[in-house]
Amino acid sequence: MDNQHIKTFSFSFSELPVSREAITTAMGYPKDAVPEYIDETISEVFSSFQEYNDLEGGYRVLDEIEAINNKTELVIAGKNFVTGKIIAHRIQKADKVAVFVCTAGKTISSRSKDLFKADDPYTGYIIDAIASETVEKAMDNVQEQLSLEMETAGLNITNRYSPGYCGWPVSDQHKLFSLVPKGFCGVSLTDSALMIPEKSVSGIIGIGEKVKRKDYDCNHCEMDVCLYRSTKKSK
Amino acid sequence: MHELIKKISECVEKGKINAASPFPPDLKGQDGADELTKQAVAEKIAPEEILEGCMEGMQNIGEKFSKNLAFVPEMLMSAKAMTAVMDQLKPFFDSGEVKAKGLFVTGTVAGDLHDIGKNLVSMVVKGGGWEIVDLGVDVSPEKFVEAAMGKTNCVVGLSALLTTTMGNMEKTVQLLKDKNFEGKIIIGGAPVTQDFADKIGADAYGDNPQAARDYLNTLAV
Repeated sequence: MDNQHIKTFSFSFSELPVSREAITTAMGYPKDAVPEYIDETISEVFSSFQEYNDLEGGYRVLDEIEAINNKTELVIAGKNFVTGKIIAHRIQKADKVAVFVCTAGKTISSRSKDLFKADDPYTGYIIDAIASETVEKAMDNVQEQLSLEMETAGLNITNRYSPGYCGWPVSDQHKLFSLVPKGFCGVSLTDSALMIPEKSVSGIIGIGEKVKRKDYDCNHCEMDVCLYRSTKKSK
Repeated sequence: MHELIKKISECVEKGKINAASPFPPDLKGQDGADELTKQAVAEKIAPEEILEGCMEGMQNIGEKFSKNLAFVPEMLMSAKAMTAVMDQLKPFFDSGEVKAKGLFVTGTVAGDLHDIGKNLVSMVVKGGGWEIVDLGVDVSPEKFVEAAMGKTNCVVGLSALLTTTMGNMEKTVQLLKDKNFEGKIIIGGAPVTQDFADKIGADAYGDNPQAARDYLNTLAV
């Protein structure tokens, strides 16, 4: 595999701007109604996470990208991805594509499960919410690195898109992971395409002169039942 | 209602698990569901009456949850307090003095590893007096069939969080029907709707744990 266009980054929890508000909002609490005990638990978890530094992320930039089949599918480096028209439409003008993987690491990922097993679902749930926000922040950082790298070449990048969202089947993960080195960033797949460690993200970002990042807009999406559409509606 | 039962109900509603539990702050240092249930059993209060108090507490927190006055952490604490009650009542279920209302076989469908909602539903349904078989996450249609077929008064509960794994709910429902599963199937999860349940042939849809328990109770033996 050509490694020329591969970049990886490692992070510690303490350097990521993990937001309390994003965590409590994801848990459903209105901004001014977060109970003190939730705040205290988040503080305790933040303290215990400070030492973790096994967060990793990275990308491989590929030159071959084409939207086909009435712009409902993407062909990346010869592999066909049934992304659906929302993603294919947003990526269609790209000249290159970055395949990314990012993980909050084994320790953070397993803490929540361990607590559920240890009969502490309350703390387990809060850790799950923190871990989800952590991996997104780590990925924001990776995406920013990609943006900076491409900017020097006069290129823009799109939003990031992942299997499992916007109608892109999770089963395409195996093809996606075949485009990066085995065990990239310490992430592997189960037979049913789930990522290990669990708190990991993967996907694609379009690159080119004619693409741009856009605010997420649910009005452009036909999926009435999307998890994130629900969140936006309830705000 | 007996004073102890009222207290158990309050502990379940507020998520007061035991005396050592720091939650909720206004009950700090007081006995929780665990100690109060022990006392109730020692005072020979009928387990059915204890269970009723427990269910009332869950009903109350469930209503708050459905009105956005309580959230998943509070529900989890309540469910944990309820589990403390159920643990104390386990000998009565084991001896047959109190009978389970039926068997609830649940899991998150294939390709999906999100299990917090499913766990919450399991805990609430267990507190409603049902026996639980929790198959975990990423459960194939075949595993659901294996666990549910031939069981008496069995209800299957399918969970999914991703729009892209909802399709595996349909495959599971279809396989259960192909195998002539005689029980009911309820589905739930953030992207799931009543329309989707109707479309795939599920018998019911629950948009929160309380709704799932209420539906199951209409099927109880």
